[in-house]
Amino acid sequence: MRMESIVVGIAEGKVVKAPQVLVSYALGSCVGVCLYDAKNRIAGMAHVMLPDRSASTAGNNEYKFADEGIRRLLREMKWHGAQEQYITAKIAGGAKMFAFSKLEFEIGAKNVESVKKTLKELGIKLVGEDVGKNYGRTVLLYGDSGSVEVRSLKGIKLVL
Amino acid sequence: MDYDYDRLDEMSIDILKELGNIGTGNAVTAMSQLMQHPLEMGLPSFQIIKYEEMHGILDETEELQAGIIIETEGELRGIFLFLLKESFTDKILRTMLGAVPENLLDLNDMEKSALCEVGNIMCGSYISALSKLTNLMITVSVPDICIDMAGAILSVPIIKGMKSSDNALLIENTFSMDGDIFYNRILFFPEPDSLEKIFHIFGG
Repeated sequence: MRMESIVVGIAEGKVVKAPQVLVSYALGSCVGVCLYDAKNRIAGMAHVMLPDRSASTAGNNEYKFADEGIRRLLREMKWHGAQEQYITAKIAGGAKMFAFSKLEFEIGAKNVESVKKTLKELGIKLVGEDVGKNYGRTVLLYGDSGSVEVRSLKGIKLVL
Repeated sequence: MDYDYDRLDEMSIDILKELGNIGTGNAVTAMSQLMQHPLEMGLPSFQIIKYEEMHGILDETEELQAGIIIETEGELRGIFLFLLKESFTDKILRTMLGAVPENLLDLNDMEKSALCEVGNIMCGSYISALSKLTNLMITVSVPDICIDMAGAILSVPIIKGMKSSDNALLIENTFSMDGDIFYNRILFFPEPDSLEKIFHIFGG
C-alpha cells in the first residue's frame, strides 16, 4: 500500500510521524531540507528558497529562509517529540536552472551553503545530499525509514 | 504606497484589454513570419496575481515545460517568462526545423535558439505594446531557456521577485495551428515600482 504524501509547498515546513511521507515538488534553486529522528521516527521537511533574511525585504515567514527555516523546523520536530541527538539531515536541490541568465545570482549554491552552515551550527549531521547541477528535483522523505528519494525528469532517481 | 491590484478599476481593465489587443496583434504577425506557417491566437486573459498564488496556476508542477526568460531594463524593469507546454514546444520545433528531437531535455543549440526566438517574439510583442501605451522606454536582455519541471522553472523569477514585489502580471493565451490548440502563459514580474508606474501613467 502506498502512503499518501503530504506536500510541503514553497516556503513551507512540515513535520510527520512514521509511516507518513513528505514531498516537495519541483525544487529548482530551492533546497529541500529533510530532518529525521531515527529513534522516535519523526520526519520534518522544509522547502527553503533564500539563504537568509538579508536577501529579502519581505517576510515574517521563517520557512522562506534556509537559516531560520531549519531552526524553526527543528523546534517543530522537538515539539512533536523528536530528540535532537537522534536527528540527522539529508538535503536536495540548489540547482541553477538557467545557464546564461544572471538572474539567479548563484542563489542555489548560496542556499546550499547557508543550509550546511546552519546544520553545522546546530550540530546536526549531514548524512546525504544531492545538490547543485542544472535540473529540477522532487524530493520525498519516508517517515518510516528516513530514506530520501530524489526524482528528476532526466530519469535520475536517487535514494539518499 | 501599496497599490490594491485586487480591485482594478474599469479603466485599468480597459488598459489591460488594449494591451492584449495590441500585443496579440504583434505576436500573430511576428510568429506567422517566423514559423512561416499560418496560426491564430485567441485574445489573452490578463490577471494580476500574488506570488503566493503563483504555483497554483500550474496544473502539474512536475510537468515538462519550456521556459524562456527575458529581463527588461530602462524605464520598466522586471522579468518576463514565457512558459510553453511540451506539445507546443514540439510543434514549434517540428514546424521551424522540420524535425522533432528525441528528447526535449537534450536539445542542441539550434533547437534552443529557435525556442528562444519564439520567446523573444512572444514577450517582445507585449513589451512593445506596453512601451507604446505607456511611452516608457524599455530595453530587453538576450533570452535564456530552461526545459525542465514547470515548477522549478517558475521558481526562478518568483525567488528573484520575492526580494521586492508581491504582484505579477499573468497573460494566458491560446494558439491554434493546424486544428490543434495550445495554451501558453506569459508572466511579467515587475520591479516594485514598475507595475505601479504602469497604472499611474494610465491615471489609475
